[in-house]
Amino acid sequence: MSTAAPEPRLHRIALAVDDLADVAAEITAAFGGDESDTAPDTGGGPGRAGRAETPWIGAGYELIAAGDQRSEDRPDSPLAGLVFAVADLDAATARMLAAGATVVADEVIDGAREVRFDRAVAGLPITLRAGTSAN
Amino acid sequence: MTTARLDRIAVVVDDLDTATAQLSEVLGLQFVVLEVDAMGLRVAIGESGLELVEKTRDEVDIERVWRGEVASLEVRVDDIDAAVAAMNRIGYEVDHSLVTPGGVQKVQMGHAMGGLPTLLYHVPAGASYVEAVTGRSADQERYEAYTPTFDSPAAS
Repeated sequence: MSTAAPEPRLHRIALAVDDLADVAAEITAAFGGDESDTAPDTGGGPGRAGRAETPWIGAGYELIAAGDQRSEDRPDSPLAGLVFAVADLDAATARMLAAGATVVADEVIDGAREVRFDRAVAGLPITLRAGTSAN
Repeated sequence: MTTARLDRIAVVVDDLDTATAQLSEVLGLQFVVLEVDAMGLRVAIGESGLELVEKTRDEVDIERVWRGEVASLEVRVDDIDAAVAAMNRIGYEVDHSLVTPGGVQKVQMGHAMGGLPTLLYHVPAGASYVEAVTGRSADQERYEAYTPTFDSPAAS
């Protein structure tokens, strides 16, 4: 790890929920935002790797239909993904691969490339996103 | 309307030292390990937004709000009272709250938002998260005997 590279920062957290629309409505009601802030990302939908239903993104949440993403070996866990913004996506991806991780998806979400991995590193579903901004 | 954003997550792991070492090696994440004896936990916190939690006893009281491996989903707000009021309006009550040694108030709303363990917190502008939580310099690598102050008997 280069000492010059900024520490990755959590960009958003993907969560598997049973009723995506209801939870999204509650988040909007409690934490605010308008439709433009909370509209589904353009990378969602059937074309998005491994997901049949369009995810909802807003206020740091990414909501995924439970049937799309809930881990078979962790049926009680809502955690579907931890999306970290990294300054050098290719270098970080190389380190993940060297650590034994496997790429699950490589896609563009909300205008930035994201590489999604399995749980090989620390048992966590890590996704790396190009960029340094948390938001 | 308060400004709020899901900004941090605490994930339960079986071996905190191994997990922090791996995340440091692979992603460069930096952690400070807190020994939270009052809660039966070791907790690794940092500025990345990812926190790791390891139990130091077989059973701990706070487990009742965990959901699988997710200990808490922490929503950073600019006005904690307004945020709690907003949660109350949509039907969720405070489960318990605590004050960290550095004076950060954390309010656990229990299983809110589709059963997700939702926690509200506020950090004063200009303070790093680690310093705001612990009240001590972030340069110190390891803290011991971290003891939050509970203001609700529900979590004692």
